[in-house]
Amino acid sequence: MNASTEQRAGNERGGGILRKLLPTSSTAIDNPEALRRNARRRAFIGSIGVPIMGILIVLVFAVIAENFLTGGNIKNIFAEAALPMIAAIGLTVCLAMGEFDLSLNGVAGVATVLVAVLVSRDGVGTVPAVAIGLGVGVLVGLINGIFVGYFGVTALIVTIAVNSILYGWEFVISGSSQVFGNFPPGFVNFARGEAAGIPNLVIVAVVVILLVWVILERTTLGRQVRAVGGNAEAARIAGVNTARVRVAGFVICAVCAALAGVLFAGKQSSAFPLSGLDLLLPSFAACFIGAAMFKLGEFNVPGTVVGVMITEVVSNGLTLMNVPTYASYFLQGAILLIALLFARAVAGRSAA
Amino acid sequence: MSGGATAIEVVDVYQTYPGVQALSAVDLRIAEGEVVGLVGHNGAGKSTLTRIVAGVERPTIGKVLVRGEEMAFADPQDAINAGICVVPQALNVVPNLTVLDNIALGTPVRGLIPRRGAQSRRSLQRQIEEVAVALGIEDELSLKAGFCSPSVQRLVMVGRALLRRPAVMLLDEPTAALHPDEAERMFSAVESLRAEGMAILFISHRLEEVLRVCGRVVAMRQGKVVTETESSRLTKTGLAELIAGEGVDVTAAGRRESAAPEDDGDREVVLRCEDLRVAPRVHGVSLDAARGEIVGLAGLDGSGCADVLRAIAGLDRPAGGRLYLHDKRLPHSRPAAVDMGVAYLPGDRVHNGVIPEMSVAATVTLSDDRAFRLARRIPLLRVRKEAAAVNTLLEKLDLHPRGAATRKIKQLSGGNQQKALMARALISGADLYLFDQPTEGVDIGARHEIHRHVRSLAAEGGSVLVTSSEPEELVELCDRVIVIRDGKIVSEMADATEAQIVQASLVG
Repeated sequence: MNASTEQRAGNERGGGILRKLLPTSSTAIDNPEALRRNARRRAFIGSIGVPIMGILIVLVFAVIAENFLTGGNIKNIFAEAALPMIAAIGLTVCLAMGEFDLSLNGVAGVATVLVAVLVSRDGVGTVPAVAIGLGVGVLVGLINGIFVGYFGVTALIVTIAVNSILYGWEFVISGSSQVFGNFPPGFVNFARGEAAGIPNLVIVAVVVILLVWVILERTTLGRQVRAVGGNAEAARIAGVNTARVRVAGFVICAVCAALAGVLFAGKQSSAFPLSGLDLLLPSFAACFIGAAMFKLGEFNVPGTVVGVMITEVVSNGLTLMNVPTYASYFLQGAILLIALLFARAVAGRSAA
Repeated sequence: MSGGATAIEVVDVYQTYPGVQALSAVDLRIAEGEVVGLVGHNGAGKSTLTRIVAGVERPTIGKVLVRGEEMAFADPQDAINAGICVVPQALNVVPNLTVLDNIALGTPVRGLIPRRGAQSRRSLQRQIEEVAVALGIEDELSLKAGFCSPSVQRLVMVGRALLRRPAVMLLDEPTAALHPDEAERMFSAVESLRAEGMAILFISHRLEEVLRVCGRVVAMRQGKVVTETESSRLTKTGLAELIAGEGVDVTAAGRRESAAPEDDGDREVVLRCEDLRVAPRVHGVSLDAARGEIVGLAGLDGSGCADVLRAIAGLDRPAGGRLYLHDKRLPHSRPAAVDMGVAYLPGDRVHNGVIPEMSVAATVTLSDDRAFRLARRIPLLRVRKEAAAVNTLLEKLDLHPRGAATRKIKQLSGGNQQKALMARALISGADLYLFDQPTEGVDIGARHEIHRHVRSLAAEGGSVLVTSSEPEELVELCDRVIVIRDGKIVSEMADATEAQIVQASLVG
């Protein structure tokens, strides 16, 4: 095999889930000029496509919905975005590792119900209750990671199964009844309050964003996560303990979802099984939108941040326009599909 | 020469890749009812020639004629339509389908949706039965392919090709994974196809079976046909000499075995490998490597050289035997082997080496980034320091473009990717270096550079095991060459010549 064909083959492979999900067409394989043109077009879409889409969405709502561009509403958008943001940032790590986590709703739901029961019925203090809630995240992440990393089972199926078990647990923990009352005021005030005009939840989300960005871009673990996602066999050959990396990735993802769930309990000061945060589709949509910008074709933290903001702006705008609630189902699906198209457009074969 | 009409003819074909003349002035003619053997060492041009005949590649210069008519294949389907079928080396059967269904795979059957060329189930079944009788697998038709012997599975692939009623068949290493007894079934099937007038190109490393099965043998070396002779006028050793390129007495290679450098008193053994067995290809290999020594492992594709390295690197679990590094047992775990000081450069760079989206710096430091951490125990990376250090290192390796540390590895050419992977081994400070095909697909300049660094690793006290499909590379680089054939050591030579290595790997 000569060098240039090998190189081309190398460029076609890897890239984790994006490439698996979105096989690129085989046109232009023997036409370097077309390849370069393609790459340039992708880079163009990537650098400006998603931001332009975001600006357009904002403009459209600014015209249609009268309260949209007010200070109060903008603050509201950020406050609403905080919890989905935390979960989506966690999922970014998992996707960068080339794995799926479909147990986000289950983890967040159990964390919500568990913390609510602990503070409301059992009179446990806020700090230990929150710690236990996050501990559930660690535990679920360990289970997911051990099944995928050490037993080699497909993450898609493992996390669906785990999610179902977690749904069941929400009923067991809560005794199938609504949990409310007796919430410590400190907990509720923190979740609803703000500091220097910035909602506390937004501050927590920013801390999570910075932390996960550092992990993914500036630590050995982050390197290894991306290596496993890009070419797991090559990572193993280089000496990366791929099973342990997978466990770590799933733990980070599940802890983030649990954190979102715990804060949701404080914000609502009540909980009911299966009526917690709906994180799954918005998080996936945000990550895939994010993969179409900044680091083209790769899941990355800044991209996910923008992705979450876009999904939140759209849902906020539609709420202002008094669109019925069930529209959010249409909306979530449509946004995910559009995000996939964007990701596909930039995830193709890049220039040699 | 065979009396039949010419089925296929390749006339004066040249094939040029960037920097490589893969074929020059190659002629090949196969008549109906003739079996022609195609032999040659790795890289002699056999694969290129078959890819041209099968329509996968187009020759730079030259013609392919089928029944006297000139062809210009745009893709493999054109070649199939013209009556040329390739039975590839890789086994490709679905284990939980029956032999009959496996043969039928890929042939359209008439059903609810009309399709061009589709035929009724009954007529297809009749055809498959005929084919099965010709191949001698009629008794196995209703068995699941997974339960059948490897020879039957291989014949299933031949049967699948036969349904397209080809005039020419290319059998690529049809006996590669077969036990000698199993191979007999393949030979009788080939003979019965030949008797029915099929033109067959039989590509094999096993010279004895080529001489037995083929009427005529075409031997290639360095992209040229070196001989085209009736097989009755050839001997196995004679053929091996033609492939190797120098007339050397085979026994000379054997005699050198005792000359292994063991008399040296202060030889410090680093790696000891005792009776290593790895399924399915390594059957008891014992070797050692001393401090400062470069040991070459030679062998044809599938001989087991690469598997020996993988097992030592901790990637594959050996079925038996013991591995010691400095008298300590080597574990069957890659991370643990890295910690003990075993560096490994994988053979298949595209699948096993490159992580396309990674930066060059991260590729180099993936095995060990402790030097670039904020503190040894705090895994925060100082990326600027890392990039600077990697750039300095890559400059020594003459990697282009300069300052590539922050680029993605996929943006480099193949040879430069290899240098980056080489750099990973260089900074490892390991005691044992395993290099699987270190210069495969790299240009001549990069090759010299890589050789220079392998030598300096040894000079600094490292112990090196190298494999290569090019014997001259091992001659140039190694203190000692071990030849492996069918998973066993057949020869060990202190100062081997190219021809001796080729001979030993072919004849054993």
